[in-house]
Amino acid sequence: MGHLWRSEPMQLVQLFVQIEAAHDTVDELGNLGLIQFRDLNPDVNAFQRNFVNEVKRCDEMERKLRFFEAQVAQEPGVKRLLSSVSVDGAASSSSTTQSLDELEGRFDELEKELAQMNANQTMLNRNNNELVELQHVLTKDAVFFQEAYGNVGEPRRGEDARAPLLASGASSGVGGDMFGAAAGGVKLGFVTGVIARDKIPAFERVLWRATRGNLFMRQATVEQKLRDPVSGVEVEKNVFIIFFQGDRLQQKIKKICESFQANVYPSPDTTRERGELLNQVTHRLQDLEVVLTRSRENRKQVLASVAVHLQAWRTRVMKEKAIYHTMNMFNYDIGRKCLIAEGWCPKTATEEIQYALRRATQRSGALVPSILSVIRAVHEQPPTYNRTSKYTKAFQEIVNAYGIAHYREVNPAVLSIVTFPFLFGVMFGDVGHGFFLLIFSLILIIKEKQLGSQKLNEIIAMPFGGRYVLFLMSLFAIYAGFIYNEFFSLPMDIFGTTWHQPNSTSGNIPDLTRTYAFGIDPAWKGAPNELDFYNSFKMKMSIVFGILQMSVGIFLSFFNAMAMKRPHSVINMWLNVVPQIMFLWSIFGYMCFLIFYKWYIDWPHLPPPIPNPPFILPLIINMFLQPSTPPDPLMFPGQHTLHYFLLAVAGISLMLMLPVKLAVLKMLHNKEHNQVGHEKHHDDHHDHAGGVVHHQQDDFDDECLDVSHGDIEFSEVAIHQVIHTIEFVLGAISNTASYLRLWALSLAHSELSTVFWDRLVAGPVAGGSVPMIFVFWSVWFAGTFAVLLVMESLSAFLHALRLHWVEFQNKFYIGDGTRFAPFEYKTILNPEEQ
Amino acid sequence: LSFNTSLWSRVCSPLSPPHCHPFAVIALTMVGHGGMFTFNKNDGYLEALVRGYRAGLLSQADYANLVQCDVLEDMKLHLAQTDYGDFLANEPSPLHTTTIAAKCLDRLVDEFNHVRIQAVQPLASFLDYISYGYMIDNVVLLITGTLHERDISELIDKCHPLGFFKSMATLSVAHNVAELYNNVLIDTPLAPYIQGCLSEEDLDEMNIEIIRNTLYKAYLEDFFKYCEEMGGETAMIMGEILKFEADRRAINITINSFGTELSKDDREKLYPNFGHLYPEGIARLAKTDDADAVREILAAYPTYRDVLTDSADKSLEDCFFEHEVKLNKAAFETQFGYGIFYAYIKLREQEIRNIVWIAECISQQMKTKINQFIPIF
Repeated sequence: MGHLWRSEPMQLVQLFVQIEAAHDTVDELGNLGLIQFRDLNPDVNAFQRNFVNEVKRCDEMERKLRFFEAQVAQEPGVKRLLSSVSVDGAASSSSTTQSLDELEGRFDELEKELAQMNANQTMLNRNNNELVELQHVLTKDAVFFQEAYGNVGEPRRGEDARAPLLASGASSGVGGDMFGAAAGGVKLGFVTGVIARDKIPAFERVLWRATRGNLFMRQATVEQKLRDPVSGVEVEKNVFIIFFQGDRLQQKIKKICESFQANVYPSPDTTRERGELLNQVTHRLQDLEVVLTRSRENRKQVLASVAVHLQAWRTRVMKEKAIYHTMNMFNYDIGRKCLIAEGWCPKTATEEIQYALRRATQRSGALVPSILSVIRAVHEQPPTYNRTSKYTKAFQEIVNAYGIAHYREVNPAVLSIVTFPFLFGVMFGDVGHGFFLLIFSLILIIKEKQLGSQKLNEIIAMPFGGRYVLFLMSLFAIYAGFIYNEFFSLPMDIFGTTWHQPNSTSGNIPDLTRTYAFGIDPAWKGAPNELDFYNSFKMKMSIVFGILQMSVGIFLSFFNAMAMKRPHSVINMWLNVVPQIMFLWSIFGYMCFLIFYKWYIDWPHLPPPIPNPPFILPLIINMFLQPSTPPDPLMFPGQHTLHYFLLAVAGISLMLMLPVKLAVLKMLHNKEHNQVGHEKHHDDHHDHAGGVVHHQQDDFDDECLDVSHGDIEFSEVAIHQVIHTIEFVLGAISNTASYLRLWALSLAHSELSTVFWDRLVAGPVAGGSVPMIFVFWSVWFAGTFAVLLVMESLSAFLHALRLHWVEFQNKFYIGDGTRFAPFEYKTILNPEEQ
Repeated sequence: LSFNTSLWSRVCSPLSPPHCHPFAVIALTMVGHGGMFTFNKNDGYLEALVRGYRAGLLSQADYANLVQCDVLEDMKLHLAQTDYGDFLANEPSPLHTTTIAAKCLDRLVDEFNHVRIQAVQPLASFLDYISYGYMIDNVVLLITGTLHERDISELIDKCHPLGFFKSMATLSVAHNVAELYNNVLIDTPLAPYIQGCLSEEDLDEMNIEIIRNTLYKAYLEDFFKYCEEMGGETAMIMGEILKFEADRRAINITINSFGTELSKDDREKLYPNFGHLYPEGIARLAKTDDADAVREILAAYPTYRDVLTDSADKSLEDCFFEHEVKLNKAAFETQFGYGIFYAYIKLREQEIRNIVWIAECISQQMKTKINQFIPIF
């Protein structure tokens, strides 16, 4: 618990590392993960730093790795290999021995090889596509021509494609000269090719416009999808054939085809020639297929060898890049050939770091060992480092989400470990609901290893991260459920109720000699005054818990004050903590006392019996508004005098908090100011004398909580103090009222589950229809799960969160620290972990 | 809120219809499309997006760092720290200026398309209007290219991606303006613009320039009218920007026409019929013969006098760019208008020009000229 109570003591260390050993040193420290380096060249551009060329090299290697990965991802067979290797990581050991230069060379070769292979493959694919397209064109064209002649009705002319297709009947009758215009027919040309299917409408329209409708176009779909050789996307295409007239049109049409990226293929005029060409094409296609398969196999093998190493390579390159990034933050002492690094580390880690430095020196074979020296930090808050276990981590995160603790400040997470689940339980109190929550959290805890090793989606990852919070929350919910005596809103009569239905003969006073052993008597459930009783109980309980938690908060600020330097510690203790606790207890502490007192006294059986015990709230209000009138009836003798005393205490505490504290601060400020002026004078004197100046004030004591903000105007301090006081006084009232949410949420929860039970289960059971019972029971269960277990638990969680962040932490928590972010490979390689 | 000034200046300006009651105009400005009342519902998200993009424009400090670079890889390293991010990460070394320019443009186009896809009317058509300008450039580029017998796919690569339209490649088929219109442009939004210069003449250099300027004139006038009809902040901001654009074109046409065959009458037809110079300045521009006279005419207009006074060591073009940047920056001071969408595209273009300029200076070792870019923010 000790290390959780306050953050680790930190120290600023300076490392002198020989330039030869620098790389290995940073590597070792990265494995260790205990130093947060400071950027010593904040004014230097990224591209002007010392090791920018190495970073660039790593960038370039990363690019190549991405290229490899993309290539591997394209091969489904090899891709599986990639994922299988990344888990066991067996290959990682082999590549770490290789130097960066070797790796770079290897990458270069591989990239070139792959690029060449891809180029070849693209070319082969393009050839293949062209042949396939030509094949389709030829087969479809045959159909076109057949149809065309079929239409004209002269199949014997099928020998020549340039027949006058649109010739009139008269010309078609003339057999001999097909080409001459003499026959009255016109010579028709044709262009045939393949075009992407989605471009066809635009293509047709443009063609029609350009030729003013003087064309005849047929098209047929190509069933086979063709892969674009460059982009690798599958494209659907159509074969088209356009008949037209005249050379100018041919030019135009070809241009249009070109502009639509349609591939035009030469098609011979006669059927026989076309047949021959088709045969040729088929042969060539078969040959090409063989070549293609072989080159594909070859590429697959190369990629497989890449895939095996890819994960290890990536880790290696990322590490290297991180090393050089870190080294860029160091100072380079050219004269002494060494790098100077500064960074924060926990005081306890000095030895480990020394070891790491020694290891690195040995590894690199540097002659001069690295030197670690502790230096003083001037006016800088060290980072906050809370060591956590898997159990405390989630609680620490709840606090961190509000703000990182000031260095060496009391850590609220310690108390939150208990109070947070407890307040949740108060709002979520139900044995049945708590039991479901318990099962869920236990599943998460038992499967911890299995779930922790894989990447979870956000919905699961959230409860998984907080599984121990959830576990405690469920335990307290069950506990509170026993107190409220609710099991899915039903009372449990475990110890035998002490209430007996009053009957007319034996009078109507229940057995008062015995109380129900634990929790609330089940007889209250369903009684006409059930709500009156529960509300009174829960309301008072909320106030008591609230005052308790806020008092603890003020006590924590007491610990903070103790850790400060004098005179701040004294001022804060006597003018902040003590008056605050006086104020809170004089009013609300007294209220809590009255609550217990009222519970304790058996009002109707007092010597002078009081039939109606006084209400507490009006009593407290009257204490303020009409202090002179005594409370009626008096709850105990001397109550009125006590009121005067409490009011005086509250008044005194206010005086201490504001005017007295301001005066003291002013005095202190003046004194400091004088001192500084005095010292300055002295410094001048010393400078003249050539002596060394020693600043008393720059001494940094890391055991102390340092909250001084340097030299600031007194008016600012004063305003801050006024605001602080007003906030506390108003907060004492409003925060206490805020704790009533404990009552409100628990009431809502219990009422909601009662309604669900009455309407959806009790009602249908009374109705007696068996199928309806089944239907309504499942509706009830779904409602219980979605509304009560999921939504209600979320809202209770949020309210518990608020009570901790606002009502509890504003009593003491400064929360302006920075998180300790050491240079660590673990976080660099899996950025999602943190 | 610039409610009072802008709205009342519009209400009281001669542009508002005289028969309208001022309050009716207010009601219209508030409820009509692009009005304050519904602006955030329809366009608030995109406006926020563009303001976010604007925050990513390079700052003075970024430029100060960029000009210190020695090689293009340094620029890459620095740009990686800005909003450009790792946009060059997958480019193999050594880098080329053209790659940087292309990648920058890709980013601009991505951003524009992202906004365009999510836009609803009337913002959608406003954004379309922005792209028409690039379409005109593309059309002219393609015709000129075909005239010089360039390969069509090579030309397409050079076209501005914001001005792509489907049948663009078929432009190469056209031999005269009528064909151009009938075959290609009839399907595009540019169709109405070209009707002013339909002719059966064959295309040549001169014609192409005239086509470009006629198209642009018609486009600017149409865009201006559209913004005026939209009213509100859009009309105010865009009016200012487009008027300047019109004037700039008129001045450029005048200066570029000296010593060419273009007759003064033809020249006058190319001037947009609005702008700060319109009508007197335009009429005088139409009659000038030399550059000094142009300067004299401009001196009569306070806006341009200021622009030109500090132009001792800068080209006229740079002065205009600077003024354009100023106008576009002003657009971001307003709300409830579409001006920022236009302004953002233009500012980003200027930024790309700056980056390319710096990159060119670095790769050609011309460090002395490296500071001649136009900083934005």
